[in-house]
Amino acid sequence: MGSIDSLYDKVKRFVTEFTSGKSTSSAMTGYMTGELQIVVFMMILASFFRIFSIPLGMVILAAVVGAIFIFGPMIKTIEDENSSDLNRVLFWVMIYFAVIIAVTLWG
Amino acid sequence: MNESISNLWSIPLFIIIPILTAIALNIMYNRKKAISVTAVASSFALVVISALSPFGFHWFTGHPAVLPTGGYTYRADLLGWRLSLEYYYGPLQQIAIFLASLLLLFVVMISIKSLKKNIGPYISLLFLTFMSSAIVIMVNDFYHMWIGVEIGSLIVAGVVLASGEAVSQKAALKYTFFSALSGAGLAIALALILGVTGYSNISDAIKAMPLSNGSLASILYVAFGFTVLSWVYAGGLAPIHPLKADVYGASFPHATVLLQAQSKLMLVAIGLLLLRVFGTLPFAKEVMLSISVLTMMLGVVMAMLQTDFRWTLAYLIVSHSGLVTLGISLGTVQGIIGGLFQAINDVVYMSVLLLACEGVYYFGRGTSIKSVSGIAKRAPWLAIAAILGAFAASGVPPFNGFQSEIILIQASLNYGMPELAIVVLMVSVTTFIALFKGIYNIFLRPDDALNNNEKTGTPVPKILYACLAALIFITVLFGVYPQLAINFLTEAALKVVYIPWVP
Amino acid sequence: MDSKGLKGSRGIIAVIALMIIFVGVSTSLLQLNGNVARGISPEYNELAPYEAPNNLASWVYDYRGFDTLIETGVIYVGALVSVLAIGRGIVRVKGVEGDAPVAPSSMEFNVSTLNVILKYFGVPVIILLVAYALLVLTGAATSGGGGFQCGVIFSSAYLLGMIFYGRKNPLNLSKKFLIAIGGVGWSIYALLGLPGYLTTGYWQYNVGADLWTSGVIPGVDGMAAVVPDILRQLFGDPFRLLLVMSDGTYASTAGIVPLINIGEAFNVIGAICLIFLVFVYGWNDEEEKSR
Repeated sequence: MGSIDSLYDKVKRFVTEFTSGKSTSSAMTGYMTGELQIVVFMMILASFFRIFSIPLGMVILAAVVGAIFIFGPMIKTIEDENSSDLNRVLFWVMIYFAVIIAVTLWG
Repeated sequence: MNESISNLWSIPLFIIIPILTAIALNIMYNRKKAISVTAVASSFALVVISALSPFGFHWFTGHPAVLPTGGYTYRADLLGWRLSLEYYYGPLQQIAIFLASLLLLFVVMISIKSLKKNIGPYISLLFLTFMSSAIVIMVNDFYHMWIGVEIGSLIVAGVVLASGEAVSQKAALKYTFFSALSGAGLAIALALILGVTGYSNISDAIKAMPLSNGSLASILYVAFGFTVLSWVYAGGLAPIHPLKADVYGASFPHATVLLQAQSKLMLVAIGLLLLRVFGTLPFAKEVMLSISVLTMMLGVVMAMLQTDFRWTLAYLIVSHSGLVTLGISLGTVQGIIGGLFQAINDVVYMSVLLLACEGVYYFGRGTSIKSVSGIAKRAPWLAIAAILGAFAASGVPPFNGFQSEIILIQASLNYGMPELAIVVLMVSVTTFIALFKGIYNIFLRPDDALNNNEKTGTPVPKILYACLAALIFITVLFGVYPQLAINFLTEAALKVVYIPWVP
Repeated sequence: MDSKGLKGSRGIIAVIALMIIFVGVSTSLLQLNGNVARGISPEYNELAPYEAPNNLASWVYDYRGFDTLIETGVIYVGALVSVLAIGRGIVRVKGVEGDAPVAPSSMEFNVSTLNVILKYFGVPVIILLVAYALLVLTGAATSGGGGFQCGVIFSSAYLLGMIFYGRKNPLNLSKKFLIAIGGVGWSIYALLGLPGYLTTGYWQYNVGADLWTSGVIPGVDGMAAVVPDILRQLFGDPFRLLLVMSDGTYASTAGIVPLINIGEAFNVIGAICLIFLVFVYGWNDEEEKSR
């Protein structure tokens, strides 16, 4: 389809990717604010790397901005990863613990 | 600063009164009159004791400390190895236990008023929730801290189960499943520290810590990792926040008041323990900081996505736990004061919001923004309370949330991390949006069923309004005169930073 | 529950994470070899001859007696919460129809299919088990054993009776009785702290053994209170023993430790038997009322 899509179609497709269920206006505001929060938060996280060296921080910030454009919207993924499904939580606990052990012991 | 009393009269009462009350209430089971008299009287006694008690230590079972020069002493300010289990009641403990007992009194009165039959076991669990919070905030002993966390998580499961719905059974099951993991984790950390120092008393262990022996550092790191795991679990930080949010959301809102107070106190207690014992290790504060930042953001983003007001509040509580731990993990005096003050404020304003949510629940149509609307017309004071609570939660002056968040922002700027200040700001702004999304839909949006004079549910009891008024008074009091609370917290922060071996 | 959470690439990542944890934890545990500090334990051992001959009993119920009080609470709360999950004490808000409470059904089992040998051996075995439980309880301060063990052995006898003979078994304990005995057990334990609290100000000070105010151990500074003789005799004398050791003879007494063990045993019996009974037969509020 590509080129014959109007801007309206593109925006519509982007917006409908946010939710899977019934998109009421109050649910949509939630998802869109959440998405924006995540975007800003990723950029803040990227800028933390200035502590090690400022050019590195700039590069990572640019990479994150690029990634946001490619992978967005990601609020659905965030929501899925934050579900209270036992296996998912267990998975993230293991990752956390491995990172803590690795960073503190060999960092 | 160094109280020498080692047999303070009040400390055992904070533990024994709830235990005996809980046993009595459990046996009474269905005798409502007896239950209400006993429960209200003993929770009131706890409030009075916490307000009147002086500061000091209690050495349970009354064995003295062993002096390094030989001989035994009962003076708590002398340097000596403790033979008994040690509790400390200082300014931080006083304000925390006073607030917790006040909330216990409120919650007990509300639940007696609004629940029907068989309330004995439920209210006894509420008392035990208080007991576990009092244990963790006062204790100065690894082993006993572990027991406090262990019994605390079991009690949380019980409180959630008591609402009897399928969703709460699931939440309780998942939560207890993880208690096996992190309870055992804390036990391993305890075993490792006991191994390298030989003391389970935290002060003694810090004094005996073999920091010069480099090869033992890795043992301390593993102990640190396991302690962080239980910190994350007890306080509901990321990545266990979905389970904790389920626990908050699936219990009655009035019970969540106590559950969140308990988990804030556990966050403070274990957080200060982490700083005192492991604060000098490289990376320790960084690990704690990153967990806090993630918790804040994930909590607040998930709160935006919820359509049930209970779950919105649940995720906001999680997110604001991140604010508390952010302050503590900065590790500076200002940061710790900010974190502790945030914990106190958070407990108060979240209680306002939760009790307002409880009021909504009484209308009998649940708390989802899809099913309930137009409450402001039927209960205008409830709406006002919810809006004031939302202002306090999102850091609007003159409420208490503003005062602690500004300290946190200043602390992170002074620490050289303006990014953290931005995250704190984002959290408070998003809190505002998430809360007002719920408040608008539930209280302010006009409702068709209401116009048809549909009568469901039960009238909101007057005692709920009285409790709301008292709590809002506290939010304004701490907002206008923050020094009142900060005076209680400064000493604890100074001790953690400069003399970590003193409880 | 969806099991996709740990399949595919996520599973591989999880395995790698577990390996990192394993390597990290095990290498640092190896560092512990030869570096274990004795800390406070020599001090406890020095005091051992003045207390219960079973040093472990002194540790668990005297020096760290308050820890054990809360640990006992874990068992009590465990029973309370397990039975709550089955239905005792589910609460509802007045006038609000929430989702119906989850109603578990009782287990169906038939005792008539049991073979004759088991049926006639059951009673003696139960009697022996109860006797053993009492032996373990009364020997708590002098040999291995104690309240926890007594409670567990007793409740295994109860479970055996329930499996062999159904609800009307030789140990016919009702739910109300079990709840009461559990509560009484924990309160006995909690209240045994009171004599020490009232006389010396220290909760759960062992007034029977009375190591510190009686002058048995010299060089104690700062304890102003003195335990009255009557309390020392009341709690100490029934359990007094003469310990003949290589470095002398000690008149030692466990003091309140044996009494604490009795409370502990009541608590454990109440808690665990209640869990067995309710898990097998379920909980029904109407039925309880009519009984």
